[in-house]
Amino acid sequence: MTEAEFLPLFDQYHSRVYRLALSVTRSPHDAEDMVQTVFLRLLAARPGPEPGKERAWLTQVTLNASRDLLRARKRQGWSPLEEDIPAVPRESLGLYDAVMDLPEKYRTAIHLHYYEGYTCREIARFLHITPSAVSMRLHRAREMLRNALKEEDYETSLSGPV
Amino acid sequence: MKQAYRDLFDCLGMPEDRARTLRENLAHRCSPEEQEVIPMKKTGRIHKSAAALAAVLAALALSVTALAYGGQIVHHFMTGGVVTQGVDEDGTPWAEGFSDPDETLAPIESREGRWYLTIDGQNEDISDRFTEEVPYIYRCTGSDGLEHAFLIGGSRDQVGWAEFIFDENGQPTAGASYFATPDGSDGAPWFAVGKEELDLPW
Repeated sequence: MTEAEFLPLFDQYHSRVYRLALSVTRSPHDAEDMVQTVFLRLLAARPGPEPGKERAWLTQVTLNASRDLLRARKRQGWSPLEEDIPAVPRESLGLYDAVMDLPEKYRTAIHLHYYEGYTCREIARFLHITPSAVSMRLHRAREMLRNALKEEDYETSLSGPV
Repeated sequence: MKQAYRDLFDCLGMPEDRARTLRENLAHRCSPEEQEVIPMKKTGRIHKSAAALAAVLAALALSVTALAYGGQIVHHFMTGGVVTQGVDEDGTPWAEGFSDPDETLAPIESREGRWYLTIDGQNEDISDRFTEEVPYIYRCTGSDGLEHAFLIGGSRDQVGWAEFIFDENGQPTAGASYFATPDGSDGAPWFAVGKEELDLPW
């Protein structure tokens, strides 16, 4: 892949890759590493993603790499450092904590749907599960978020359609 | 909640200085000279079988076998496991398989005494399409763009399955299997027939 082909993709998608990796790994440091890993894989890919399908390719590779990291950490008994948290606006701290307290499978589904805007069917393909399982994960995630935010008296500012 | 979530993550970007540094470093790798040394490039098949995984799941066994390549390649089974392959600094090829039993997604499901194929969004009653001697075979293209093949066989009470991944050239490159036998043995007749049908080297 030439520089002229690569740099526009990096500029357009590195933030999305970082945010997805952050939502999966919960660690800004790991998310940065994932950006490097994912774009190195893009450079090395033979063949690379088809034109127009780069975003889906990067999403899948980010998911795979981030979840691999989590599995490896689980095997090693690793736990995140307390100080390894990003700078979150004060008014969003409750939501951030509630999201990051979700189990990984719910966190990932929520991010792909809420932030990336993927449909249940599209998320199902990324996660190798059925669309109905995605729908169930989203439903449970919303419930858990609502309950967590209710406890923090945060729900007023978040009311509205989901 | 969706808007609040978006607003939150819009604030959580990669630090600009780090993104800029990474961008510059990666741009250097775009040159032909640099591309050649990226250690992820596939350098050809090495016919060395590398057994990897032994995750016990409720007294049953799950195993992964993979052929090793040069470079680092990760295969993702649709049933949940992964295979990482590479070459050590001393040139020794390796392959590591891993599957979390909690994350394993069986390609089949039992409902009211019948067996349904459920992988890849399917919902087909295959109860009468496999025996202890003859497997049911399902093929599809995974989200990795590679062909995945599934073998399902056994008796109604003890159904086993296996998943195999084929590379871009149609060659089998990795396999994961689950045998519903007490010792997790892979000597089931349906499995041998299925492997022959798929022309597998293992």
